[in-house]
Amino acid sequence: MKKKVNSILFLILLSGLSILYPQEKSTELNLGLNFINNINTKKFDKYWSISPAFGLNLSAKEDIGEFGFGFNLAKFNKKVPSAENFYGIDYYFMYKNQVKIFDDFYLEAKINFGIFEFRFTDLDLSLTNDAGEVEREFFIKYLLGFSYLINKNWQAEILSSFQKIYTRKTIDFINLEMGLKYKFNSPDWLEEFFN
Amino acid sequence: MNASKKIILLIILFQIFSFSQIKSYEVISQDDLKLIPIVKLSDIFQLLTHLDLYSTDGYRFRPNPGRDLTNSKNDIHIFINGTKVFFGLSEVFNINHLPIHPEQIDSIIAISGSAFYKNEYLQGIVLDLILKENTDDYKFVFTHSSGNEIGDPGPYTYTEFATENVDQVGPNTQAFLGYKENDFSFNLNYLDRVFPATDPKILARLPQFAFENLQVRFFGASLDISAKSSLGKHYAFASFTKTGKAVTGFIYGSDLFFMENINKEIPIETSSFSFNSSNKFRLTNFSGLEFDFNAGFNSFANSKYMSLPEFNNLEKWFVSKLQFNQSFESLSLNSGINYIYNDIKDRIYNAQITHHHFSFNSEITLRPTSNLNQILSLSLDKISKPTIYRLQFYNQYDFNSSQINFSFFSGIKNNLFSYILIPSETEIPYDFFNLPKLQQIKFGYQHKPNKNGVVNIEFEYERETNLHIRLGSFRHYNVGNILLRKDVFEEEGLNLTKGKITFSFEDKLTEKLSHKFLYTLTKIFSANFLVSEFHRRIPPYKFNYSISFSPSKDLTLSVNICYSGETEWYEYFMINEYQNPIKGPDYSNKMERMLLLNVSLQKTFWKDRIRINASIYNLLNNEIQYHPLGGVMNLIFYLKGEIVI
Repeated sequence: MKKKVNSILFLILLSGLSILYPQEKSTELNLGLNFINNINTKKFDKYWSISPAFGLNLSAKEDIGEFGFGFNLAKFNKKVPSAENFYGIDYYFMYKNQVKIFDDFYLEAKINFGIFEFRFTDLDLSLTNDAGEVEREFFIKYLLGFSYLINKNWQAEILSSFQKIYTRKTIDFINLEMGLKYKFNSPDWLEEFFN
Repeated sequence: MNASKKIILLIILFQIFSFSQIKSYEVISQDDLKLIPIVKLSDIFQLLTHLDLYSTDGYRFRPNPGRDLTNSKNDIHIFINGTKVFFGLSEVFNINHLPIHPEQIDSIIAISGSAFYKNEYLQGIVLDLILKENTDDYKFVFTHSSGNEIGDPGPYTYTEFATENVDQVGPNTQAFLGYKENDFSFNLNYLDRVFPATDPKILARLPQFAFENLQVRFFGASLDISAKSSLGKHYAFASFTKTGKAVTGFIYGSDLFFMENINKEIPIETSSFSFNSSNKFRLTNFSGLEFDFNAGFNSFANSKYMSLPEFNNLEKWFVSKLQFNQSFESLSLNSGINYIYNDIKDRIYNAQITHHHFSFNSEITLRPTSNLNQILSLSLDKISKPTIYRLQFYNQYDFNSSQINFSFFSGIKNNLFSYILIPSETEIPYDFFNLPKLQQIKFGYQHKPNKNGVVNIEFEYERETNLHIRLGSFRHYNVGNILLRKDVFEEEGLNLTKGKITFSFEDKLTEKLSHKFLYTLTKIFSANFLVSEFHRRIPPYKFNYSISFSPSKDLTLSVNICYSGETEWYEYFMINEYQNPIKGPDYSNKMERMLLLNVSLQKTFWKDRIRINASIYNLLNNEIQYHPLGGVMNLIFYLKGEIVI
């Protein structure tokens, strides 16, 4: 229940930012590169250790914030023989808003949601069927942090994130994320596609 | 009292009821449909909160109460552009098996309870899908969607925490091609749908059925044609639907039909063909003739992967409706007859049941002034020996930007097709010799403060007499996970008096922001014990609020909140008596209050040629359950892609 309340509060914060600090729709695109380091693994690390993850995303500004999509990839190595190694890939949609604090520093709130794919790598397929190779589940990730505008095209960001994967036995990750974002003008054909 | 005095009294009564108009239905407009993502047609029920429905699996929705009253059963009646369509009388209709693309729908008229609609008495839920008129030469829409219900084992599948897979919901593939040239247009529809049953309760009730077959695989195709000729207007709708062996692809999936009388899903292979035609002929400038007919068959048999119970039935039907209408300056008459032929053949035992049914309907519309409409409707049905009647005064008064509504209904509460059911040893016989009587008064007020806004309030008062209830009490046995009928609660001659308030408003707050609110409150004033307990299955109050925000023409965000009161299903109160106390109860006859929050994001690309919709059903992940034996619907993430050419 407490987590539900926190989620609702975060959504209210994000909605509030969107209303109070509207963005200007732009034809420019943002290409982002993220590095993600998990800082809590409590029950999960009994079975697996998590390597740092990286990801890519593409976004564009609309009137009420930044919308985009992307993916992250991490390797999960088993710590007990009964478990299996897997790659964790999350494909997501993203919504972000930011408010200027001072100079080139911004406060950022972001929400990602999509599918987390568990892709088992070392299965003996003679003992299982193909469907057992992949498991998928819905996730939501809430991110809050700061960004710094390095120059006209580059922006750096540092965020803390809470990710919930809705498996039967739910998985909660708390991460520290760093990112670099490059802004560029979209080519005409892409601009036409986006409109 | 002599005849002339009776006529004068009738005219006076008619005038008394003429001060107002009825507003007994809800219209969902094209703008409203943008408030929610529609992956399957039953998603429209999120907006139609005033309809009382339940589902055991989230796929098949039925009226609540449904077919529980022994002498008065409720069904869903589907109309397309005002023409009633049939898909097999013996099947409780599943709207998700209607091969109509949501993109085709312009608006939906939804009526709940007993009502006259299109000069015909109907009971249960009436949905009239008004389709858009084709405007382009050609229009092609291709839609593919899939969902993921939470609760998969994830990486724990190879640990001691392994659980059953919940799998994806879908995929759904749907396409339609529309064409128009002058007075001729057609739409061709294709629908392919997979709906897995993954709830533990449903799985436990079908232990002998292989897990990979526990899904509905549905195929549907339809063609509708509209044309105008020198004689009048013509419309035809033909459809073919199938479950079981896939028409396209290889996945097998019979229809997992929940049989209420045995409280269990029965895997059924079905195939159905239906042809509907509606024709409006103009005789003179002031008179016309309407002729509708429908013919079809419905084949249903046990799944080839489940030998018991064994059945193989073929149902055939022919339905026709002939109406004559005549208009005068301030008066119009509309009268006609309906004829239904239906037979169900048991192909294993070579037995056959045949039904014929006649009904007569008449409607008189008076327009004494330009803003006053008065409609007197009469229906006479010949089901068995007694001819049953219904009478309704329907009045409509407009002033400024408001309307006042009033109606009075009196008659036998009985569904035309109630008595036709799948033959079964355990079926409760239909009591059509001892029918209930309904008296209903509705009063409504509607106000339009501006061109986009509308406020409605409606009061309804109902008195039902001579109800016949027969409820089987079920207990759940852990050993074998079976539900057995233990007792039967049966009473006749029961009475019920209840009231209902419906309040709704909708408006466009700005060009980019629109919202809609609907609230219903039902109150029982007096009832016999069994009736009172029976009606606790209907939520006493419900509200629905939807808001849609479009910051730009290619982006739409929408939020839909539904909240309903707790319900209790009387006949299941002993369902946990034989449960293993260590394991804890799996079933409960009480459904807690439900709060459902759905969110959706839609972005269009390439000048609306490509649409991507991501939506989350039940974002708060509350346990959504409508029936004691029903599955629990958790959070579902849907992704829908659409190409429009």
